[in-house]
Amino acid sequence: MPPAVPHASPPPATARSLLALPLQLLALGGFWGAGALAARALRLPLPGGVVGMLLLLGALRLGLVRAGWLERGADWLFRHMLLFFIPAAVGAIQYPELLGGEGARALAVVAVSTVLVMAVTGATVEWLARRREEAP
Amino acid sequence: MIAAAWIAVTAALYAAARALHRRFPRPWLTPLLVVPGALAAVLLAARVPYPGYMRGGRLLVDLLGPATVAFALPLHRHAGLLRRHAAELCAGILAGCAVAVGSSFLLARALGLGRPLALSLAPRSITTPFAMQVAGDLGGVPALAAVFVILTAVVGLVVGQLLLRWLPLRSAVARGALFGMGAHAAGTAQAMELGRVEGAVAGVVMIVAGLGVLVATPLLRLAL
Repeated sequence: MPPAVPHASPPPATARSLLALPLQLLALGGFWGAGALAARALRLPLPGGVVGMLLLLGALRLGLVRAGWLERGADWLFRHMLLFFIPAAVGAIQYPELLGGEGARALAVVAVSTVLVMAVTGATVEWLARRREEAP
Repeated sequence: MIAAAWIAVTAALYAAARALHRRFPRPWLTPLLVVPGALAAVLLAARVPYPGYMRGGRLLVDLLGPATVAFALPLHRHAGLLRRHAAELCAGILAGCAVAVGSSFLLARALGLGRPLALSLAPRSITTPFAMQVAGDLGGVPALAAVFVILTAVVGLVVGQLLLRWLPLRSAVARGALFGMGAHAAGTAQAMELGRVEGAVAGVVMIVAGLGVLVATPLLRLAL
């Protein structure tokens, strides 16, 4: 949030605004750590990130945390989420056998099944949404 | 030191691929296809083993944790919209999960793939940590499941963008659900580019689908 003092746009890059992104990322990382600890302590079959998300959602709903405090960090993570998948995708080089016939068939399964899943999901939601719109 | 260098190389290639994809928005130019391809070529040419690369890469993967946490913000902001569309989304997720698990397993068996491979393919539409757990519980191979999840992400980004052109999906909720269900977190990242509502819906769908398949695992063990 910008300070309450009126200023000409764009606002100057203050030390505070430069620090906002790393601090917000650190705070989101803290919720992740807390989620991982809670999941282990309670033996939940859930990843730490999901438990951390539920903790943060609870804190937001209860008004303990304001969305504006974490907005920039969240937007940055969403914008670059594909980057975080790249190292895992490179991991395919560990399975050279997937370049053979079995791999080609597995790829065919993934491709056909993904088309079906996306089309069915999109069509189901769209159809129900339209029906509701048209209902009086 | 070398770990930091691999992060830098990955980030630089990603930045270049992202700029390229913005300039030429072709589905197959997605950074998730272009950058791992380029990196795989570099690693193989330089004879760098994957674990060597992952000493740095690990840190990038770890950012998926905070990214998952961050979904609390769009969930909170769009809580009203999500509640309004809860019925559609539940129906879409249920249909999507059934088609994802069923078609993956049956197609794999029909193409003559072995049972462990088919069971590793079954949870490929849900996000990695859930998919690895489900695959293990079903009798598949968790590491292979992780590979198939990533493969699904790459295919899903391409397929999703093509389907958006062909299917007359007017509602943002349907477009978001398509990406969240079909390509989990990578699909959600793509949905975020379409709009805030699409992104929020995709995030919810991804998480609920993951939880749903996880909870349904005992039933799947009987059925598959």
